[in-house]
Amino acid sequence: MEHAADPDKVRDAKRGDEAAFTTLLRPLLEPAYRLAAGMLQDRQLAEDAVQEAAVKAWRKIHQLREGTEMRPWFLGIVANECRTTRRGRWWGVLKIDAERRSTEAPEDAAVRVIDLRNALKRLRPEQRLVVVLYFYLDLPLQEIATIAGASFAAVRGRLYRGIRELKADFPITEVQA
Amino acid sequence: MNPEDVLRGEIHQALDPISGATPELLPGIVQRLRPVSRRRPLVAIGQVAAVLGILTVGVVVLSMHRARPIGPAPVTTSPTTPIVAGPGADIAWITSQQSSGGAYTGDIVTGVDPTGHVVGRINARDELRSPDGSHLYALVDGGLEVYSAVDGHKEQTIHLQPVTFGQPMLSADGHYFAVVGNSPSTLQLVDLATGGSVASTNVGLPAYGVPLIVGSHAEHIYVVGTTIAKFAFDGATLRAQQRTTGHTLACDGLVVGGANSAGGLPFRVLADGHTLVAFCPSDGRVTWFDLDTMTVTHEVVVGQNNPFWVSPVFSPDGNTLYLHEGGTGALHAVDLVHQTIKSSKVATADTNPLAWLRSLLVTDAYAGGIPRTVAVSPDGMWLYTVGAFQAPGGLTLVHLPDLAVKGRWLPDLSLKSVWVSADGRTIYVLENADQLRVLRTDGSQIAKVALPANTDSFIVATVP
Repeated sequence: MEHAADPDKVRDAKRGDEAAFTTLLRPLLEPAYRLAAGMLQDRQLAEDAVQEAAVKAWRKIHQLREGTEMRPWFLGIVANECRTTRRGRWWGVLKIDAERRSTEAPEDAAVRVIDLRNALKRLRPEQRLVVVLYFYLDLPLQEIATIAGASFAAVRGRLYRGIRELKADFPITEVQA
Repeated sequence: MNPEDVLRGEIHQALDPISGATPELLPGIVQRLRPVSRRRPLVAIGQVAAVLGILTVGVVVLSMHRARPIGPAPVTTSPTTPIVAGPGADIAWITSQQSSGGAYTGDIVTGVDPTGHVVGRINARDELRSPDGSHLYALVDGGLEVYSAVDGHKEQTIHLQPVTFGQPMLSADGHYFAVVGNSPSTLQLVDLATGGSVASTNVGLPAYGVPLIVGSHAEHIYVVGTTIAKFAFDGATLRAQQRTTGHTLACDGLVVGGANSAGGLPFRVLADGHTLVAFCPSDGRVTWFDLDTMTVTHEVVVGQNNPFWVSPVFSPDGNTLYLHEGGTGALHAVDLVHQTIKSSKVATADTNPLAWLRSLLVTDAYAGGIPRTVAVSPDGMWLYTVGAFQAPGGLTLVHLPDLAVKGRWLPDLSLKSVWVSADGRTIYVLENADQLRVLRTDGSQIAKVALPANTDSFIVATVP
């Protein structure tokens, strides 16, 4: 597998080898950052979330079993960090309705982008996670299930429901996942 | 196209501008790994205790900022007593510059309350706002007009001797008004309680300076320009006392403050009652001037990429001067008592990857005036900053004790000016497109208001 953790590196990282850990981490930072940016819709918060997740991953590296894929394990930590960040983010709450009302040209392409962002924000976190992982990071449902810590069927259900709720505010064609 | 691909494309279109290119995260992460890898149980316990302590303090701070009614601005500028916010102090008054044949002719001043309703409009120029926020003052030919900040109605016109290029100023307690004109070169003093001009004198020099009124009965007035002239007021007459001859606050031919500062005065008398601190917007100099000995006692220069990019604002207690460079996000906190500087970077989140180019290309921002890209909450805990050269960036919320960025609001908007109501509950921001947004302290929007074209800035309470 492309992102299966190198057993030697994992062993070294568990022994406290920072270089080994950063070697394991490096290829994962881009998808991690894109996941966080998609979930939080804020660049600075996304950076912070990935940094926090990386530190937590370092502390928990002993929990990573040899042969386990590193990417879903780390993205799961990032997703968890995003949830924590959103809970504590009182200052960043935007009134979506107010934002939408203030837009004067609803057919404008830029408005459509804002509408979609707002529709994504309105999704429940577990649905947004699945939608972002599936449509933005282009990950397979099986890996998404590992990241979300849920069954394949549950993840597929979340994706369906997420698409349906997106459709309520944002006109899209029915999608078969 | 497959509908799934359509949605995928739209989601990429919506989220790509937010994420942009992946930043270089690894160096920051590696730095943080080291302390983690070396920590021992006792250290960890200490860390937990520290975190609990920080959380406790954070909860207290948060509750102060969000829940507790924030009282009137605890302004303690010497030598007056603390100022209590007056009626209308929570209403924003915004200038929109008018011109004829390319020449500035005055302002339309619009008042907007915390619910987003326009409460009044005034045609004026050279406006000032009383320290308690309750009144607006505007110089007109032969007089001073006084307006209510509640609804903008004119309360009275105080007769003045005609002045040209008048530089007006209020006393820190709002009881007195003074104006210096340069042809003829006169200083006039007005008692606002009685509504009458009480004294005037010839300044005796090509006066182009701002009058600074000191003392609860205006015992001294300093005309601050290329030199500083000190006048004594005995209740009836003004008498010249002293004039500097050496190094002063001269600011490359500009007076410190004045109408171009839009009320955001770059100078203040410290709580000791005899130290004047002034910021020179053209060269980034901060000067401490002893009003008793009439000498410069200390000077520092704060770096700025371009003259007039830096917006000054004083903490409510007057002990700290915050200097914010909107275009670059540089923030300097100048401890005026201990004469030290702490610097930080609070750049707004510009989504344009080439945004840094603007700092090279834009060189004439606000030339001749002082932008108002920064405001302090009345409890002195939060700094609100805007400004990214007419590019998206929104408003950045900075926690003042540690200058840490704690949030960004409206990141997709280009904002140019910010003001906080006297009770601290409402934040007003001006968009570059002549729009005003009224926000709560959690960043949520109350209203959006269209203003007359060429909006300039907020008229800020004058606290010299």
